[in-house]
Amino acid sequence: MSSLTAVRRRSTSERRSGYWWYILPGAVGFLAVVAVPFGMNLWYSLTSFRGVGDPVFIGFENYQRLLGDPLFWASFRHSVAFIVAMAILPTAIGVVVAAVLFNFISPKFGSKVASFLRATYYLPQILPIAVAGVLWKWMYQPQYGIINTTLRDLGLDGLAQNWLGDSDLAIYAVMNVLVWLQIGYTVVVFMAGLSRVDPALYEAAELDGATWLQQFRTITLNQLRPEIAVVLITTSVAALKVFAPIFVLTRGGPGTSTIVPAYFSFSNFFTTTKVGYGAAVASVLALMISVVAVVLLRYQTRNSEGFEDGRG
Amino acid sequence: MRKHPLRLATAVAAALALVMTGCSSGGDSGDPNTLKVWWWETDDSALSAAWKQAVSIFEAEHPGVTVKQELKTYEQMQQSGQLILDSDDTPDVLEYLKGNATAGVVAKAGLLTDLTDVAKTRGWKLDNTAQDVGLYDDNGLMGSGKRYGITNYGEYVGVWYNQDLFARHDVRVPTTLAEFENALKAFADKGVTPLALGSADYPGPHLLYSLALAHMTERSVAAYQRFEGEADWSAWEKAATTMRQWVEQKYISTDSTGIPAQDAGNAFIAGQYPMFVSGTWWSGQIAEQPTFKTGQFLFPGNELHPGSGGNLWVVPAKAKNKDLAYDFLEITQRPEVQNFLADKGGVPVAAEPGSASSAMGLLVGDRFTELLSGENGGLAWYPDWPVAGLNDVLLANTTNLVGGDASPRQVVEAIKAAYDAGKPSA
Repeated sequence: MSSLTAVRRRSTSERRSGYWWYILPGAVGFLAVVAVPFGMNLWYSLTSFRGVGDPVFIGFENYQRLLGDPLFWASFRHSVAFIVAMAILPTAIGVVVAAVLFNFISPKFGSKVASFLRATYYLPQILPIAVAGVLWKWMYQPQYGIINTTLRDLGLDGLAQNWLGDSDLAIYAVMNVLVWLQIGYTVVVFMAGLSRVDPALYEAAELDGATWLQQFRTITLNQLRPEIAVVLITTSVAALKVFAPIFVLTRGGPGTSTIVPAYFSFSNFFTTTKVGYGAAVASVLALMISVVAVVLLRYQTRNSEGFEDGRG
Repeated sequence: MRKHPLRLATAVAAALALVMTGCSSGGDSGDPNTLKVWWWETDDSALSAAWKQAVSIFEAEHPGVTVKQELKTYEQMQQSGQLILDSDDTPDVLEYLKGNATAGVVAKAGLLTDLTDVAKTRGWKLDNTAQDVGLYDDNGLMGSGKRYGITNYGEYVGVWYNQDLFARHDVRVPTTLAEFENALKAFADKGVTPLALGSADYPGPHLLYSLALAHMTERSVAAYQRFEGEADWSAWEKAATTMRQWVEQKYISTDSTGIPAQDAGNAFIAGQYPMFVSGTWWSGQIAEQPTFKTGQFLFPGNELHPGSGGNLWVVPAKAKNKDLAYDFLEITQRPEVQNFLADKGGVPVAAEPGSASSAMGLLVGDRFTELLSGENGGLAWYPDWPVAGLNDVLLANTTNLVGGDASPRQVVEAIKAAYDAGKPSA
């Protein structure tokens, strides 16, 4: 008996050591694409560097300057708005849409209709962001854009706005595009989550005379808690590092009313060629995202543990 | 969190890919019988036509030498040009971006060949101010020092106008700033927005700079552009105040903050606006529109106008066939190539006067020559040149100014702050 265990143990450890080779390609890729550039970025952030020539070590000067740079703080304030637009709103809307599709459309009109609608919600996710951005830019164009021309045709001239050109409005216009972009992702995840829910729960609730809203609150929301947590983490991280939609739609403008940390860092890297300073912004952004991700992951683990306990 | 290192890596990878395509398509980087030439001007442009002619002259004069021309993009060269020039697989001669932040940085880093002696021995005529864009000092500041590049063309900003609309509203071509404002008022009074403007793009800063130049002398321009003395910020504040007034008097639409340069140009070409303050790079498109008679006048009352020599030909320090590169550069300066450029609607730096066959070519070509001669004024470069990244700051602040989000004083203070921060420390 004991010899048998020993044999098994040895073979497991042999097998373990044998598997290490398989990690090599991934490890090389990780080193080359993530670890080394990240280390270089940290080093650059401690230097004054124009992109060519030699970086000059200046300690934490870049970070000190960063703390006093109003643009840096503005970019993080805008990040909060984008968390609303990319994480909170799409999650809220996504849960409702998924529930309607799953519990109402699908039984009433058939699963094909529901799948079709789900696909249409997902479409913005498939569209290359450069294309989507150009389309929205056209729609928002103040003079010939379809939004303003339609409003004017309806006699609602007062509502026609300089959407992306007005510094008070631009951030909401960009947020609107992001909500549109993100809903598809949340709907697809939540619908997958709902298919895992035991239908007996809904049947029981119906027999007890629960309304749709009551079922939504007590069953759907509770059962989807793990999915909601995952979606919130991934979309919040995406919101913090959002770059492409800003680059395509406003380039941080008008003025600096839509600047975000990633774009701020990019413009330091490539347009003002203050590589050291841009690297410092990138490092702070990396730190922020790690903190947010860890906090949300912790929260999710605690929550889903409670969830498991409650069920068990 | 991986986004930034990744992006840097992407830029490096893109540059490597660029260099490698240059290498693999040739595979003969050291071949003494191949001249590798890169530029980014697209095939339909006047410059591309002129340079292709230069290539064929070169080939005729150098039997046995093949020219390998590759088309790049402006963005590629702007963002990874430094890495390419620093690699071992650079082309022999390439079009590169003029300015402190681009050519200046690589010249200072020793990545470009010093052409001062080459130009002297070969007797190149580079003494006009358009060629100042090829000079960089030890700090990488443009305008004086050693010659690292030459330009074949020039550009300047003026006021494009719609002659038909001027006639219909009985407005005459203004010659002073006061007359200009009267003309603007005449249109505005009839409910016509007189100026096409895309202040979401470079036309905003160009207009602001034109207005500032009304209050500047050659000395204060030198102070602003080359840090020779204190820049005159009061001129900028006056300019910003005027521009704000123009918005309030509806000479400029507040919508312009959401309108890019191309849309503004298109709207002018479609006949929707009587005037458009912008550069000679529009001349081709404006000449081709068939619906109305166009013209151009210089910004009324100003002696100095935004404008300069164009982008540069440079020879990388690591180029393999420098002598062939010099031969090519020489050919691009010959009258036959320069006249051809004028003929195609470009603005050459060394064409024979009156050589252009088109009306537009004559207009912009001869006016540029006049500006170069310095008799009735001169070129004041562009507002974003002194300091790297100033363009973004100027854009952000002109949109704030037009949108009414900042006062003229705040706008100028913000521009000054960025200017001072980017100034080379003495």
